[in-house]
Parts: sequence; C-alpha cells; structure tokens
Amino acid sequence: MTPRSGALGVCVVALLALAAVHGSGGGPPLYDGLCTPQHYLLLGADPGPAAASKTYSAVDLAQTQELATGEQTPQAQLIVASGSFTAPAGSTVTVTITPVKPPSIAPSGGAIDGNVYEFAARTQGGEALALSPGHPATVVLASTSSGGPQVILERFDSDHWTGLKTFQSGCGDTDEAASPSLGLFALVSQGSSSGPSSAVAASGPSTVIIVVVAVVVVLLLVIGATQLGRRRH
Amino acid sequence: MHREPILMIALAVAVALRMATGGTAAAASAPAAILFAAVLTGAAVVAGARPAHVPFGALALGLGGGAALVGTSLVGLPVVVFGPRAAAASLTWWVPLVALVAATEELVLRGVLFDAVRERGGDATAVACTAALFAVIHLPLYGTPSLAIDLCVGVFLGCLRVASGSVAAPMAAHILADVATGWIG
Repeated sequence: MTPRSGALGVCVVALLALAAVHGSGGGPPLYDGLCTPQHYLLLGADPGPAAASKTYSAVDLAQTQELATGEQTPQAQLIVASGSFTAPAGSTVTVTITPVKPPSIAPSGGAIDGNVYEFAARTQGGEALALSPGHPATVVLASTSSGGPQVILERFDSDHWTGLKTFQSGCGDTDEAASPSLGLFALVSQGSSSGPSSAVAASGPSTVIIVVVAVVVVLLLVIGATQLGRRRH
Repeated sequence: MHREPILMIALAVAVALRMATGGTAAAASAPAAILFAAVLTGAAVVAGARPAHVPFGALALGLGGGAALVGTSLVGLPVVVFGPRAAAASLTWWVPLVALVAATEELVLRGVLFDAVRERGGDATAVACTAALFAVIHLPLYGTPSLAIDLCVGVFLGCLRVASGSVAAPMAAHILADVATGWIG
C-alpha cells in the first residue's frame, strides 16, 4: 500500500467518524466562526422580538413550508414538511410564532437562553391544529450568544420541559430540533441556573486554560517523539 | 533551531489574542479574526513558508475533500436550509475573511508545522499532531463539543496533505467547508 492510498483510506475513515459524530446530534458545524454579530432581541426590551404569522391553503401545505420571525437573522423558525397538517378540504391553516413570557415552571437542567416562543397552528374556524402523526416539524431558535455553552432545545409539555435532540447549525448560534408537536419552545443553557450572561462567562477562561494546557501537552509529545526518532536513527 | 515549538507558541499566541480581542463573541469578531490570521501568517513566513506552484491535482483533491466535508456536516440535521445564515449583510467581507482564517490555519498546521514534524516523526505523527492542535485551537470558539468533530476534520485534512503532497489540498478543502457550512445548515 502506498502512502497516498493509505492516506486516502484514512480520509474515508475520518469522514465516517465525522458523519457518526454529526449524526449523534452533538457538536457545532465545521464552520470556523466569523459570524455576523446578531443583537438578540429579548421580550420586554425595546425593540422587542418579532412574531410571525402566515395563512396557508391546502395546496401550500402539500409542499414544505418555512415560517420565520422578521429579524435580519430570524430568532425563531418553523419548517413543516408536506403532510404535516391535515386541514379540512377548502379551508386554510394559520401558523403563528409568538414570543411569550416563560411559564412559571423553569427547566430542570438549566436556564432559558433567550425568549420562549409559542408555535401554533389554527384552522380557519380558530381550532388548534396538531401535527399529523409521523410528521414532526423542525423548530429553529437562535441563541443569545455565539460560542456559549451547549444549549438544548426544549419543549414545554403542560407541567415540565422536554429536551429534544438538538443540532447546532449555521453560525453555531442557531439550534434546531424535530418535534412531534407544537407548543412552547426555548433554548436551555445546560448547567446554567442564573441566566445567559453568567453562562457565557463560564465558558471563557476555562477553555483558554484548556487550550494552553493542551498546547503544552502536544508540545511535550512532539519533543518526546523527536527524541525517540533521534535514538532510533 | 526547531520550528515546532515556535509554531506552537505562535498558535497559542494567535488563539489567545483572538479570544482577548473578541471576548465572549470571538467567533463573531472580524478584528479578532484578522489579528489571528496575521499572527499565523507571520509565524508561517518566519518558519519558512514561501509561495509555491499549486498543483492542479492537489487543488481538485482539496475541492473534492471540501465537498465531502460539507456533505458530512449535513448528516443528521432534521432539515437542510440554504441561505445566508451566517452573514446576511456582510458577505463582501465575510467570505474573504473566512477564507483567510482557514488558509492561514492550513499554512501553519498542514504547511510548515506538518513539514517540520514529518521530517522527524513521519507522516502519521505529523497528521496526529496537527489534528490534535487543530482541535485544540477551536476549543475556545466552540467549547468541548467541537473536540471530536475537529479531531476528525484534522485527521481528514492531514491525510489530504499526505495524499496530495501539497498544502493546497487541505487549504482548498478547509476554505470550501467553512464558507459553505456557514451558508448551509
């Protein structure tokens, strides 16, 4: 086996490992930073976050539809595939995304990062419409800061928060998850109990220390390998 | 004098300056990125990097590798959306800046540092060391969840370097992957 073919073989193995890591839902994208800074709009501030509403016909709902709030980079998006809503023939479905006050019950695993958004769908007659079984919707939420601690997209189910398998996308400050039902959603900073600002601060110095230590370790390894190579020669 | 310690110190300085300049929003800071790229470029030049002919085959292999990285990054996403998610208003400076950061990282990691380590320890050691460093320098930006991903990407880019015989391949792959995955999610 030549070095070239061996290297290409390892390339394939690395790609498979990468696919496995991505497929497990963990980790940020490959994308290497330099996102355009987004000013997150919190509910109650001025200006406040935008809501979104759109009415779809049955023909519209036969295709994938995307609804997003009006910020330059949307803070909340909903993507529904064909067949997600079963609307009565000839009627329409109105889908809304609304920033709302958080429920009184807080998530158990951390603090809410940003706003809580209500995703809802209603028929022409005003009745709440659920997603069709087997047709989950994709909920996309922006977080308040790029490069902060890991966040999980959670859904509020009557009296508790349910964590969803969350994927980081875009710049790394946007997270998305598939959900079998609509309702209240928020990003939850894991391991934080006092809000986003402290969570961001917690990620700063510790990672710098890790980097410095890791560089020293790699440096020692290289020096060790070099010494070993010399002895062999 | 050995180039490896100098290059690794330069990498550590570049990362530290990027974090100090950009603070908690280092990933979003253009000045921090420019500073980071400038330090790495300086280190590469001091360590002996010079302009060289870019073999077409290496470039093609790199672009193919970049496409594979982009495809792999989409695995598992519940939905794929195309659009300027990363830089709606500033693509004119955003794309060159992303490319510059990726290119300078490659110039140091899979360029001069790779050559220096390979001279002493061979291809496998060079791939392993540069992949480890690649993962480490991204920790401050993305935290520990990035470690496994960047290790895999580092090994992949290092092997592209070995297979092509040129830094142009990992450089092309890295630039393509970074620009594209900031656009597709």
